[in-house]
Amino acid sequence: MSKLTRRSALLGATALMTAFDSALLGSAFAQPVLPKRGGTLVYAQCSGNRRGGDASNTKHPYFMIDLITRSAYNTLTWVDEGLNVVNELAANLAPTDDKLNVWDVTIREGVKFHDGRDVTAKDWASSFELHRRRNFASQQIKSTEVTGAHSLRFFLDAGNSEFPYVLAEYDNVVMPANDDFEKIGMTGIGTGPFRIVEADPQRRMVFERFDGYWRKDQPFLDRLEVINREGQMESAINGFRSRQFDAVLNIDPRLVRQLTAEAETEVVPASSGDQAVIILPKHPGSPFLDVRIRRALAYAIDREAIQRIVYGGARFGWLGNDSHMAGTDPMFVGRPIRRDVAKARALLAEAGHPNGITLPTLYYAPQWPEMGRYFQVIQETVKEAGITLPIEERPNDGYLNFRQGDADVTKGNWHKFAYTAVGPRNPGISLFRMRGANNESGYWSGPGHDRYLALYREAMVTADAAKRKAIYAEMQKICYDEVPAILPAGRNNVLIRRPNVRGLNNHPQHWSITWDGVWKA
Amino acid sequence: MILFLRRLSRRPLTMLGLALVGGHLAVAALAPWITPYDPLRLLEAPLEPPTATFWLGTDELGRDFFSRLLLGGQISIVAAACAGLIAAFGGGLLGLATAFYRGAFDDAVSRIVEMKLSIPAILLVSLFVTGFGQSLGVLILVMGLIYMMGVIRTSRALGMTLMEQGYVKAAKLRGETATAIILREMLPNIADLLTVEFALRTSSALLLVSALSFLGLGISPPTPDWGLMIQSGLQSIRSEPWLILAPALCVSTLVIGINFATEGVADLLGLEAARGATGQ
Repeated sequence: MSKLTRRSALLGATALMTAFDSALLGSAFAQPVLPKRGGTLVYAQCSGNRRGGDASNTKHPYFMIDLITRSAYNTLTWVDEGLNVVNELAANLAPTDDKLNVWDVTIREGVKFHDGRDVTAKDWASSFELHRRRNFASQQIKSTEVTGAHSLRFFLDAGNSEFPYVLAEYDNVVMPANDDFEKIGMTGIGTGPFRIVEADPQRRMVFERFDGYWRKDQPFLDRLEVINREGQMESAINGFRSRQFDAVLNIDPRLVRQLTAEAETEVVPASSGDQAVIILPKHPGSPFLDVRIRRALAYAIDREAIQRIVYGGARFGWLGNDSHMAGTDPMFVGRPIRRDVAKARALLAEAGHPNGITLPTLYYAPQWPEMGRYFQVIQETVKEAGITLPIEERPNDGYLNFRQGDADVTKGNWHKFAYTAVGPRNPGISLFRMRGANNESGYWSGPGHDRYLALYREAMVTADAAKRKAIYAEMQKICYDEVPAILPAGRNNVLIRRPNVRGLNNHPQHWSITWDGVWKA
Repeated sequence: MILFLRRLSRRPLTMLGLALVGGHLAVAALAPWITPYDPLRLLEAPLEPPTATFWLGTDELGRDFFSRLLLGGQISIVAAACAGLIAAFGGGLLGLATAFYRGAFDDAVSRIVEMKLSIPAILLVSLFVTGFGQSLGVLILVMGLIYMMGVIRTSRALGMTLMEQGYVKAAKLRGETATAIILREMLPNIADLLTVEFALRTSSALLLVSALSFLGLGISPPTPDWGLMIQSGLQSIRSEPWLILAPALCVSTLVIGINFATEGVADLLGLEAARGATGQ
């Protein structure tokens, strides 16, 4: 053992003091790490493009939705990670009076398209001529009027207190003006942080930084590549493991436990995400015409088992209430009784099925990786109430056409008893989805539906948020009583990223993730 | 027969094959009575490791994995065997008919067979299943038709040889109908070949059913099926590898068993041409 001399003791004490000081000073004067410019980020998207896309339209914002919308385009408003609406290209947005059916927008100045041209109100008006015809939420826009070079007026068919949320819908982007609705947007020229340089329909999109972007000094990345891996999550994750991808979006929450333990993998959950809509078609001869059968099914499903088994608990899954509302929404009202097998049996007996019922085949597609598990849990748990529920998985490709039938219900080609997914939105948009004219409600009709729509109209012209909340609660109670569709449980979106990927936040709306502030350390 | 069995017992690989096939068939037949738990029931937390209660742990939904494994071959084996039967019997008859009639009928059938052989089986089955639905009936019928093509070729070749045999010529001279000649004179003489074809096509069909289930186009969940189990175990390959290894082992041992057994039997029956003819 070496001898402790006076000299060595002093040296040691000095070294200790120096280390202590530098740690203290270091933390006191720590500078935030500045984002680094440059580099290429490659990510895989496991929920990409339900609308598909081909060589002619793949750059259009209505196709390849999750792959391009927030990279190449901008909307007037944006919904943040907490589902609050904030201005994006709108500088100011307000209704002209308390009828809430005319809204004035002042658009941000100095915004340029990827071809260098300035964005004007005329471009917005032209873009909304397409949106009000094609986007479900924008159909309430009767017309637009250009009131100045950078100002625009929206005329709605009825008042809408939550109109700013409509403007945040992913379709509602600005495109260079074009009177031909078949051609507008086809060039892929937007105002987003990146411009499209390569498009391989349904497979891959490549973007490069747009230097004229309106957010100064952003984006940070030189290049962004997105690979569509819808329905191929295992290959996406293997690509991440082999360092082909820097991030993978919308993975199966079941994998969180496994991936958390893997090196150089950060798991980022969002506060909410999509939920499954089980559409109950109410055409002649359908068992779902009988509200007692609909209610029996709603009571029979073990929603907590879905949350526990499919999502691994409350951190990655939430319980639905048979409306389109997201569980994290402050205006969400949970089902008073989540499950009651005895009540389900009693309702079936009352409906003339004392020995149980065999329902038609329920179709689903693996649009989300966990859907197979989701429907097997439902199938197994409803058995306890005497409900036999055959299920069948269909391929993602062509699923939309397979399930939708004909929108013209008079033709008798009805929507199938099938699943679709719906993302979390504000109550105004979410609750509007249960209208009878929308196939997600299974073409619901009757006094309950009429009361529901009357309440909706009332809510839309109620500016007071507290009063609106009470109306929304009543609407959700109608969904509980009438069960026009079943929305048992939802997911929290999960992404994985490498530790050197900074600024990439997850979002409950998987289409609303932004890439402006993402950089690689 | 005794001599045949004695010769058979001197072939260890054939005996191993027969033991594997016999074992799998016995388990599949007895599975409903020997499974410790209901294979569909959600019993425990998902992905539990193997314990004394759950010998192979639980699957991604908390169902007993061992019970599912025991039942997992049942539908695949039935589907593959039915498809093998359709292929062997249908293909045998059609092959003999082409050899008997020759001419335009032979040309037409031969061209159809050649066209079919140029298309990968999995692609064709996927198209049919997507178009006509995922029912077991559709799956069996399509697989049977696909594997029939190879059988038509082999039975046609043998049929041509039979057509030159004296007893077939005599039957013709006696004025017997074509159906009678094919069924009574020719078919019994290719029975050995068809037996081997049946076994080979069944083993190919078994792999195809598993592959289709793996791709989500075969047997639908929640039915316990090895292909489906491999597919759902894929996600857990790093953390729970037994979920993929156990069903994969079952599929491979059964297919290897059928191939070993068939090869030995074919050899003993003197069907050299049929040995290893596992293609289409």
